[in-house]
Amino acid sequence: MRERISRTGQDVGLAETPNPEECIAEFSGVSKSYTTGRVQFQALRNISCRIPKGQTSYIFGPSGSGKTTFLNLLGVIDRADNGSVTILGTRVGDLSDSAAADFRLRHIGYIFQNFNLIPVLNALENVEYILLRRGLSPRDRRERAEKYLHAVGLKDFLQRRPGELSGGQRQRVAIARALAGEPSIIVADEPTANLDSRTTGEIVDLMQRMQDEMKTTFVLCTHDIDLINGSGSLLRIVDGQIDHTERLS
Amino acid sequence: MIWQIATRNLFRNARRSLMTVFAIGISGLAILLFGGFVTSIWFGLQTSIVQEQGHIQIFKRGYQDYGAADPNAYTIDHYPTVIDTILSVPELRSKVAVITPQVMLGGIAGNQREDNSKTFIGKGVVPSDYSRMRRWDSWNLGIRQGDLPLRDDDPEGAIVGIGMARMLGLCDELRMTECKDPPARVLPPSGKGADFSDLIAADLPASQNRDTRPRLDLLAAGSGGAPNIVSVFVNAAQTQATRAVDNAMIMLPFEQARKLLYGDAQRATVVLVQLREPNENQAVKALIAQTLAAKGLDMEVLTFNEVDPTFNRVFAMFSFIFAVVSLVLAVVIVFTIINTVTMNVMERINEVGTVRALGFHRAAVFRQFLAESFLLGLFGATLALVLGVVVSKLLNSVGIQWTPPSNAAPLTIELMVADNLLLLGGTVGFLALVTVVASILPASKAVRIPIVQALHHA
Ligand SMILES: Nc1ncnc2c1ncn2[C@@H]1O[C@H](COP(=O)(O)OP(=O)(O)OP(=O)(O)O)[C@@H](O)[C@H]1O
Ligand SMILES: [Mg+2]
Repeated sequence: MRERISRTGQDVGLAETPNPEECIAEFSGVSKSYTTGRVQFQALRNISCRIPKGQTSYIFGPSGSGKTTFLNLLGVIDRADNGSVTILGTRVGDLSDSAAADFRLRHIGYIFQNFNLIPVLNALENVEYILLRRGLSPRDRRERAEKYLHAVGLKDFLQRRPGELSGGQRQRVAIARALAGEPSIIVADEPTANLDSRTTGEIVDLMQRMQDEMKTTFVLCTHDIDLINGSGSLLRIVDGQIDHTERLS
Repeated sequence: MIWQIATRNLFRNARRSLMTVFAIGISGLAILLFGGFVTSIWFGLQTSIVQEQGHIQIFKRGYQDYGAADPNAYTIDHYPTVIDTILSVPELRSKVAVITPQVMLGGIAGNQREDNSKTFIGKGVVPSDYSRMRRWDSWNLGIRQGDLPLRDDDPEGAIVGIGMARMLGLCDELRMTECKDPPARVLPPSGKGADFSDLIAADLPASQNRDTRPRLDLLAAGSGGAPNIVSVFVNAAQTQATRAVDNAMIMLPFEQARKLLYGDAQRATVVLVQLREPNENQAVKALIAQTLAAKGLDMEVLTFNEVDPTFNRVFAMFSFIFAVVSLVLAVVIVFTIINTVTMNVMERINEVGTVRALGFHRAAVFRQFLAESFLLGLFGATLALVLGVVVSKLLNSVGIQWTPPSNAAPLTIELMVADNLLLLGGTVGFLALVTVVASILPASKAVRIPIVQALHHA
């Protein structure tokens, strides 16, 4: 696989991306720049691509290439300067702040590099917490949270607070939290960067297994080529541009 | 869950929360104690005024404006009619505790023995009624002024202000420790003090010449304008509220005063009405005015604070100080809370970003911070309540005294905190409100940080 990716400059563009019906999100002509002081830095330059539905998409590229920026736009927590991001037919750049929040609640699940659990809540409550706004009864909330925590293998750690869990266990809670919302897309920005290699393997396997079982769309960004295994598709970003896309099988 | 998270976050920063709760609690304590003091002034001062003057005062119309210049023209002509008219209404009869006439007078008092004389202001009161008024304590404050050293069966008795006693040289005779007679005077060669003993000698029953009490001869203008004289015997000297009054006051039985001014006519300057219940002034005042008007009596019916605004002023002054103190404390609380909440917020910007990325609205995050402040305020207020009740009870048990500006005798300060629901509730509400308001600024800053930036705040 390492070999294939290193064949750069080949088949760039939308040629290999799936057709619109199988697409959950589409970037078209998206640019994003950051201004620090007087310096403007172009983090994404005129990106167009599609994210296939029900698979794992890997966003791969060197550090500083714009992966997180890309994921932020896909996760509807940031806005593009130019171009449009369309998710499930909605141009998310046009949403108001609160509509964007509702959109995230319904459609986006997050897995963060630093786990980002709420420190004062235990594992179970962390998962339940995001179900609060779903209008579920307390009982349904609890059942659903337990179900996903069992699924990620934390049956015996429900009452532990994040401070009492290992990094891998915390990330499992975060995965359960992302899954429990039953979102359309789960975005994960370097979810294993803070974990050792054995735990990394476990977490990657877990995500793959969950993806298989639930057919949720995962978009995972990493600069670690070893994470990319299994099926799905791959998008390589270099210097704010997509320089390679490919189907993995 | 919002409260669960709020509580846990407070415990997570237990030390900081505790400091904040203490700051709020101590400020609340100060508000409660001062509020208790102001409340005690409100009730205590009112009680002591009502004990002296009753709730409602009835004058002939115009007395307040012109009576001082022409007392004769503005005197109630037949006070028993006024009293009977009022008492004939069953509702009034049931509400009235004491109804009593008084005569206000002024003139010259002479002490023949010391060859000394001085202008006086006098008040003729019905001794038994007056003593009864002094027992009014419908708020159960335990304020007792003691009975007047005047008796119905002692028509010639009198009380003077201590200053008056001093100037007229009665201190020695009254065996008073708190005042001294003037040094012996050198009389001008031809001079003699005011002496109208000849005028009275004839009027006096023989018995009175043998009275051992110091005698004063009171000269006043009678209703016709002609001077008239009565003699009184001083039972005691008592401090009066203000120096000017203390230096001139003579209190004598009503009948004596009335005779001095009006001879046989049943006239009086004022009819005082003391009610059984404290909070009926306005209603009863209206009913009395209506009753008297219906009877064709042209009277002015006023509440005690309309007659003399001292009470309102004293209370307004303390209320103002109270407001300023509360405001200052509010500012202190606001800054303390802003500080605490800002620290809480700074530590949790990443959490704010996370929660918002997960789909929570700004408002929800905002509410979370407000809830935490509200809890701080609530804990602080609870602490304030506990401290307030305990400290006020302690202070009350010490029995500190003060003399309000309108009083002659000191009142024991009874900080009304424990049983003052309005003050307690108000303080709790105030503290909770202030803490919540104080957290608005830092909380709204926190939720305005863009999500991406907030998430970066590791
Ligand atoms: N808030 C910001 N302000 C200014 N510049 C930024 C900001 N965020 C990112 N950048 C810049 O934009 C470029 C792309 O950043 P981004 O975080 O998307 O890279 P990345 O591919 O995720 O890198 P890494 O693999 O190190 O996480 C980088 O050069 C970075 O310095
Ligand atoms: Mg990144």
